[in-house]
Amino acid sequence: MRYSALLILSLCLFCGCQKVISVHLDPGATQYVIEGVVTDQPGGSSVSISQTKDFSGNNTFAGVSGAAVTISCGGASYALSESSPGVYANGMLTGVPGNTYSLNVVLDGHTYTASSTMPNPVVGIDSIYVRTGVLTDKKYVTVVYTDPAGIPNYYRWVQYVNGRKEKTNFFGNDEFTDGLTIRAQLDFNNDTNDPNRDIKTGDSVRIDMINIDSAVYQYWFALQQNADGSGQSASPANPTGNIAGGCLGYFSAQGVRTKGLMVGKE
Amino acid sequence: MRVSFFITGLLSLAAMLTSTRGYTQRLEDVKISLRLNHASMTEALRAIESKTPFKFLARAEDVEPLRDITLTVKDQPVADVLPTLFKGRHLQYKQVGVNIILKKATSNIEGGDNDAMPVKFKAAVKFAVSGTVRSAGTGETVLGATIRIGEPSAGTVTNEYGFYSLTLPSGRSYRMTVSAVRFKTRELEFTLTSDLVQNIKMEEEVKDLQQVTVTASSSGRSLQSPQMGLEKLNIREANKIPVIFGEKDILKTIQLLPGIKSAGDGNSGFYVRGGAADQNLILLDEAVVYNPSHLLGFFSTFNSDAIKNIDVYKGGMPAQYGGRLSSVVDVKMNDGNNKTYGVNGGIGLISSRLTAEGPIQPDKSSFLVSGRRTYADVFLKLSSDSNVNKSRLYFYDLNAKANYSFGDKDRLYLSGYFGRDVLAQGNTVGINWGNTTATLRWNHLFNTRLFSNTSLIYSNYDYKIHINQDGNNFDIFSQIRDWNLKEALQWYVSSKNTVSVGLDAIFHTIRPGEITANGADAGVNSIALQRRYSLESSVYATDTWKASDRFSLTYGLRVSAFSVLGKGDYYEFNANGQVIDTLHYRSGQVVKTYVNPEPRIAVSYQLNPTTSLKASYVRNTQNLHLISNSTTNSPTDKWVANTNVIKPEISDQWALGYYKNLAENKYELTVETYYKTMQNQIDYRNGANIFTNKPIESELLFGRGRAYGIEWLLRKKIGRLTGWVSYTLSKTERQINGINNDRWYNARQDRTHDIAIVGIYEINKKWSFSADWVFYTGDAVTFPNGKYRVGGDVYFYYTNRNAYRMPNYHRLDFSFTKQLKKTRRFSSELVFGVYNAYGRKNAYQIDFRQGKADPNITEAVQTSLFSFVPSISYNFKF
Repeated sequence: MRYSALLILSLCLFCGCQKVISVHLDPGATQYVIEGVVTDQPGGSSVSISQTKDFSGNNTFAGVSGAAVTISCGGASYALSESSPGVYANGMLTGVPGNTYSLNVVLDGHTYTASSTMPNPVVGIDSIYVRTGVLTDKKYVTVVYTDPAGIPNYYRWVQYVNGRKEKTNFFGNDEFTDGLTIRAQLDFNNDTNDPNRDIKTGDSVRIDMINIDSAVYQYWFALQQNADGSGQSASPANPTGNIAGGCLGYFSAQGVRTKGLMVGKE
Repeated sequence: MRVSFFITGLLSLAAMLTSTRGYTQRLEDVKISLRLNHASMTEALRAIESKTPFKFLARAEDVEPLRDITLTVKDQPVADVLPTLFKGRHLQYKQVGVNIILKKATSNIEGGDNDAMPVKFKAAVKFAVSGTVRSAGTGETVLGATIRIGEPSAGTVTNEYGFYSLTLPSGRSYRMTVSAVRFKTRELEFTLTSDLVQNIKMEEEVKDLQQVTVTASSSGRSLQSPQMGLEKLNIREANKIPVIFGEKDILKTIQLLPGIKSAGDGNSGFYVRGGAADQNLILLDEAVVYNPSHLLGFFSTFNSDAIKNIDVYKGGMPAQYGGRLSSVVDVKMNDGNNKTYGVNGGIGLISSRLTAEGPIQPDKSSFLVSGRRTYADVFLKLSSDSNVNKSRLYFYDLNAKANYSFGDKDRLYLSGYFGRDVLAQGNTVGINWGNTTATLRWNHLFNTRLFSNTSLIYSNYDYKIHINQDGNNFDIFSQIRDWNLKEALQWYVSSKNTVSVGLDAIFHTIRPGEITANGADAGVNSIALQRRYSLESSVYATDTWKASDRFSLTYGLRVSAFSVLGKGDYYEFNANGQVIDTLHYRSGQVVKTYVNPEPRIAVSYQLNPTTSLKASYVRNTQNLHLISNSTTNSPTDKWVANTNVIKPEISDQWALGYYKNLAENKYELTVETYYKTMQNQIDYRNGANIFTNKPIESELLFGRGRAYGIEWLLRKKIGRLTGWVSYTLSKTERQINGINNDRWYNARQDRTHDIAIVGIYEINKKWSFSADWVFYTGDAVTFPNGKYRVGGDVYFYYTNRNAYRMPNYHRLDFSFTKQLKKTRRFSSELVFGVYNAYGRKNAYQIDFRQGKADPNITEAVQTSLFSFVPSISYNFKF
């Protein structure tokens, strides 16, 4: 009796029961999605344009060609040309921390504009290590970095395991940690139970630490909180990006630093 | 025989105490001899009283000035003596039983030959019969007991301390009927010749299955009272209704009543008439319980063993209640047995309970202590998984109450609640949270018609988070704390009017969040968000007027004032929620005061002895708002008070009701319909972050709401089979600029249909069976219309707010109760239950995600919590 009760209890309280269901979702009008980045790394700057599609469609998003894309900074202006369908780039454009960049996209007669300032200084990673998390036996990467005191800083981290990008968004700011040396554990929930997402001994792990500005941080925060499809969100909504003109997406001038390691035995 | 004239300060009424007489003599039949020589009228009347069975009732000021009376009569009828005595002295008289009531003559008939009063004269002399109604077995006060006088028709109901007072014409005999749910109806006779204290003891009803008496009054519902939108829950009945894990839970049980809607499995929150979960005022012995849930919402904080009574007001709230828009859930704790010591308790799958009670002064005062603790953590320790066995997960409650009587007029009550939840993993991460309340009350009876209660109330909710993991070592603390002083007076003016007046002042201190770094290398900076102070005060007055046997009216006004106080910084914002100005305030300085008059009116009209119609209007305001951006309740949800920007929420509710007792009062039918508007409703900007030290106003949007619906309840309260069927048809919408293109949209709690069927069947003396079935339309939710790619990953594209529905919810629960050994000293029972008996997989939440099997598609995933949960529990009492 006791054990069956415990079993029922733990099943119900801790696991719940999940099943894939079919939900009829009305198709909405399509919108453009503009994702523009200027980084301080050579070749890291590009603008990609795609469109929303129906929920029932596949996850291949075709690029949108035919846009006129320019990024300017001070007096300098860079025209970006389409390097592959929907992806626009200019190899000459490498961002400089502290500079403000403006994006101008003309598409189908509509103009979309945005600006973003690359944080200065660009904060790098002091070290990274891998360790087992709390309430789980899975391994997670911890990023150690030192936040500069006295200025607001916003960060994003992108994790690659064996070259494969983890889909979870990791981000943080220094609202409560200004000027400290911080150990940020990049926790994520492997909700798809994909073994390739888990970190195992022998894996190669790479972390990009991306310094972003306040508006872009707010975009990623809202994207994660309200648009990742979680039923926990009381008010799912499209995040408000920093691009004017009526589209989804964001424009970010960002400083990027990278560190990698091979996962050894703990 | 005691005869006297005495002067009371206020009314100067002459009065006396008499024994009851079956037969009253006529003035014509009683003969008297008198010899008065320059006597006063007082002496004359005393002389008549001493020689006859009659007594005089008069105002002293009418009688005392009359002097110098000389009169001699021999063996004459009193009927002849009185006109002679009063002639020219401006006095009229009337016989009422043994009493002779004297009244100063009115001018138009002054000096007339006939000093007998005109026929239309109504006895001006009235007295109050008052007292406290208690259970004969335990001495517990009986709340809401109905007191009725047959002829002339009059009635009242005991208040929250079991007190009643009824003012009636004097000099008559009355038959009083006292009835209350689960007590045998009592009848008493008395003759009223002065204010009378009549304390009443009621025997508990013993359930006799063979013989079932049906009385209208035992239903506990008043057709006459203008109060509507009130649901009373009988704890004994509630305890028979099946619940998950066999954990009795009054907050879950009230959700089976119409207009009170469950926030879903694993959530003790509820929605009343379209209101949000934070718009319910939940009181435990008058103290506000800010977070009424345990274990992240799976259970409520109320331990049924300690609870006497629960009233839920969905509308037409009496003027003494205020501070929340949608409902008042008024929970009263047991006082404890003042006759004998007793212990009762129970052992269930989730928790064990133990209650001890007994007298302090026998028959006068008592105490009660009740505790409950879960033991899931004991099971967790058995696990071989080190992650699980290091976990701590439990909650406990402690309820305590004592009362002490200082004579007949004064009584002190002290009651308290302390509860805590603990959820932790070893020493690395943990959260604990809970409520503490304490209430000190002083009941004082100024006189038989004026009842006073003074309360000093403390209420606290806080949570603490501890993190000590991998170089991060800090604590987070947040708290809301109230000190509350209340004074309430109930004045039983006459048999037609009852007046309540009172005042209420609450000082709120909110500590929104404080981070304390432990050690030099804590990984965070210590930061304390500014404390928020406010004073919420209100005064009210209300009168219940029984205009006629059919028509009653309650009208009143509550005026609430909410002052936002310094010290602290307050901000001005632009339309985008960005700070444009910062205002600094000194300690105690008033930032802003919001004053809101809240009129309340309710009328009832009784069409016939079994049918009545009622209508009401009520305005409520709410000055504290719960900020939560998750669909489920969390211990870290924040209460915020009004600021210069956050304004009081205001609701106006109009309701109409039809009440009918059917089949010789075996069934009760209630139909109520309502329309409610709400102002200054709060929602969140897209991407709102509530865990920030930025001003919270920058994350909020304000708008309005409206709700309307009709509620049906057919209830059977008598017989082997009891229970009810409830059905609600309703609509709830919101309109907030900045959301859904500024158009009206369904609130999340908008539920078109909501049905509950509850049955309790007494099979025989040993076994009883109960079952409930619920069905409701799924919540209004926002689902994506499309998807797009950002940063190489799929995100979802939304158009309209809350344009979709969760799947419909339905569920059947049942339980069997077996009465085990029952002696005079000891009784026990076993309860077997099944929650969600047919295993319906109800949606707890629906997530959208990239396909698990095929990453090139997106899929919808439904999570369900409870399907088919059996339970067993054992309860005892000795």
